[in-house]
Amino acid sequence: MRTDCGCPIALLVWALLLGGVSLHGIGGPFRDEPVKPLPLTLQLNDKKVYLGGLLFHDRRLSRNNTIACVNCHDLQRAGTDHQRFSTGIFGNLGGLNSPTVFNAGFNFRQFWDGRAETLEEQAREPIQDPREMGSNWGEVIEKLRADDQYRRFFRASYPEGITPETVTNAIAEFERSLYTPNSRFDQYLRGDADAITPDEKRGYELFKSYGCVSCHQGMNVGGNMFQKFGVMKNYFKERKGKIKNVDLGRYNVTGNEQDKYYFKVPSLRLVAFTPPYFHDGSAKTLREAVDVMFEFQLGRIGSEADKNNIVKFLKTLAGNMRARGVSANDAK
Amino acid sequence: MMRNKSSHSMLVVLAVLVLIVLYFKSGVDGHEYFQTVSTIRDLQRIDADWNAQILRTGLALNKNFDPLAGVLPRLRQVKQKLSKSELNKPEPALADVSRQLSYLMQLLKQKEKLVESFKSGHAVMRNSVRFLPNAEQQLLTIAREYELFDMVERMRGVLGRIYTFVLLPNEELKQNIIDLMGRLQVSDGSKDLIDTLRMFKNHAQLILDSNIENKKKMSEAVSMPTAVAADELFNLYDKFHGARLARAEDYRLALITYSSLMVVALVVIGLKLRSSYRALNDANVSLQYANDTLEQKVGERTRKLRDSQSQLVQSEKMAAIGQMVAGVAHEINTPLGYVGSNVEIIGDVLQSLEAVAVDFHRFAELMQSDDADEENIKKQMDSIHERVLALKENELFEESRSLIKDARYGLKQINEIVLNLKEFSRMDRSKEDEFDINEGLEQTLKIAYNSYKHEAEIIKEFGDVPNIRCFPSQVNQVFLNLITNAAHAVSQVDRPGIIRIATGVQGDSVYITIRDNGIGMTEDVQQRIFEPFYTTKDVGNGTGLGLSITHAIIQEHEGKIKLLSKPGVGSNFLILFPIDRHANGAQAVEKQEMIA
Repeated sequence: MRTDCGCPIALLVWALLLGGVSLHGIGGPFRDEPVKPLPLTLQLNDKKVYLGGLLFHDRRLSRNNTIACVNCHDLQRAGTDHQRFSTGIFGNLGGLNSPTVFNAGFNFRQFWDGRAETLEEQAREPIQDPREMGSNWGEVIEKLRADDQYRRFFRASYPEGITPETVTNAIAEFERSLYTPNSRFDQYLRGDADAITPDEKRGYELFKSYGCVSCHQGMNVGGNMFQKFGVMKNYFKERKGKIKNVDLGRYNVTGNEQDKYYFKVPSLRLVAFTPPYFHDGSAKTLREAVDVMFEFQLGRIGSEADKNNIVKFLKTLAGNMRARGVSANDAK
Repeated sequence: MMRNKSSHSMLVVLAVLVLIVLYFKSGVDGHEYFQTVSTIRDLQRIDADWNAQILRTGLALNKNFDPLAGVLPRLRQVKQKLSKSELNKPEPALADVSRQLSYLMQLLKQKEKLVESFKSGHAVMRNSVRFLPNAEQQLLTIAREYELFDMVERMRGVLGRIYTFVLLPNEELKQNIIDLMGRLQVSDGSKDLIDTLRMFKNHAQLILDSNIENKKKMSEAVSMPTAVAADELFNLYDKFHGARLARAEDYRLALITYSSLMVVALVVIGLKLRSSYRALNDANVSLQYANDTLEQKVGERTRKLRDSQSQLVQSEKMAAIGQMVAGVAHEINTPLGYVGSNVEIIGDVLQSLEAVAVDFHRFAELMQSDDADEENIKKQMDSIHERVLALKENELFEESRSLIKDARYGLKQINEIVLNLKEFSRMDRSKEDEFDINEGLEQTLKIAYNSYKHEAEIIKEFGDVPNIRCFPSQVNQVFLNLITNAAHAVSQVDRPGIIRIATGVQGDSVYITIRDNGIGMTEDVQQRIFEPFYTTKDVGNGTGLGLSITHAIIQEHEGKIKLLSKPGVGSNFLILFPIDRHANGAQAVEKQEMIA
């Protein structure tokens, strides 16, 4: 399977051939839309999911046993805390809005700046961040190893027992179980034309025609690319307050000047339930957020009716939010 | 010996270690190689897939970025596999390979960056492209409203060029579009028109600005030499693997040679062991044979020795007897002498008696004859009378009686000597028997009488001793030897000799001491006195076996003999015989028979 490089035309032909096949493949029973339905089932390890759920709710992962993952990613609140910025250990206020943990497993990278490639990589950061959980692996592992139940559960799933790798893997596996399938819009995509109202349908058409779908596409309606915040207009210039380090986005990871103000495009799956919006939590309502997007990303002027319909459409994206393995009531 | 052993085992361990090392060096993990090669191929496949998705996205064949983003987890997996594989081993031989791997990884990272950048730009451009028909529609509507037909035409021209530019971006066209757009001016008109036109221009400008760059990024991304780098990685790895195989082949050859040598060495050692075992066996057999024959020889010798010993004992006995014969002959000769002369005298007396008897016979005839003559009778009577008177006068009868009495005594003496001799030699009593030591001493003294009668006075101090079980003839011989020796010892000094013989019981033993006041012995002599053939006597006077036999006999009877002696003062022999010798009697009997 040798490819002749330096000859993009050959590749192009090749790609077309390949794509021809997958085009039909994707078509299948679904509507051929830029937004795709979430899978209805996932292959997950139930034992690890359960164990990860316990860890997700366990305050011992923080230094003084006060903060659990669930503090900022409240499963009752669509996996967020509904705060502009989240409060970590000792009342430390973070600098970014907590994204939802739901459907995070479908994101191509984690964090607003995409610095973590996997959920496992992501999970280790808040535990050790002095402003978030403020702990370290030595402490965490010691605390967990002192717990008979954890020792038993880990032994059942991981021959190596309780280690940073197995702890984050269990948490990640739990997070992968936090997805929201079978939304009304997915039902519509799967062929049920009446699953959404005409207004919502209209909203979807507007969502496409205004160009939102350029970035918010795929099954997670986003979460698969980076985009500059302020494509058509300088957002940070217009925003009140000075530009903070976190506003530099992907630049903080790559150090490339071109990556300044680039962020991971967030998934809109639960957007109806996760205010406030944007990395800086600046938009208090969804409608407000839509306005900001129109102005700075689309460079378009939309009518009130159009924007309202788009908001209506966005509300059809959220599916079943029940967590598998552990319900939010299990929180300690 | 110990060191030798440990160095041997060290050698064996070393040999086995070499074998193990060669064995492992000769093996190549083909599985890992194929696994790794297949991972490289996977990477190339994913990379090609990636390229396809990039192009499909660029050509707007993909409706979203999921297929393009979906490549990343697969790519990540393969990258992880590669970095954990053999390719990343810090081995000098793999330096080229791991350098190439990190180069490939770097390319992939760059490519990912390009792709992400392309995605962002492409999304924005697609947004603008999607907006253009909208904007056209709006603008055309408004323009028609204001009857700006000229403008409509110009807009169509710009739009058509922009669509072309979207598909085939180039600088010339870009410049052309910019020029045309510059002429899209409205001096008057509604705010609607102005705003819409501005929006249109913005998006068009964005397309112009980003399309070339996007396309460049796209083609840059797909033409990243990742596949070539992966091929090169494969080539380097294959080369390494080939070298490794060749090396392994060498090791295998070495292993085969080495193990063959080991086998040969083992065979040689085995053969050596076998031959030495055989030699050992042979030695063992001959040793066994020697042992057997030795036993036989020893037996023979012992038998011969026993024979010669009993011969020696016998000959010593005979010598002793020979020595004694003179004495015994003398002893016998004396009584025999006077018995002979007495018998002669008695014979003479018988002649006189015969003459008397003849006279009586004539007288009796005369008296019975008819012509008896008184004178003749008288004459005859006188002659008888004369003769009897002569007999009486010469006390012939008394003398004869005395002579006979003497002869009888002499004969009795002879008889006694003969009996003692017989008793002493006890040829008929060589078996073990109850024995009275005192009696044995008495007999021996009688036998040896001749040897000491002129030399020493015997003082007997016999105690009350129980009988012991022994071989009487042998014990007698002991006594004879010691008494004879004592007599000999005292004969060599001037003072009157005394031999004291005492017996008694001491503890569990019967003791006999034979003490003389003879010449005595020096320490030297005492040391050697019991050695065979050692003698102080002149040649011909002794065999030199007397005391050694004495010693042997006493030992056989589990007795002891001790000697106290001082030159010029005398010697004292002490003999001890156990009273109850039957704790191990059977053994003693057997040994005794050997001696006998």
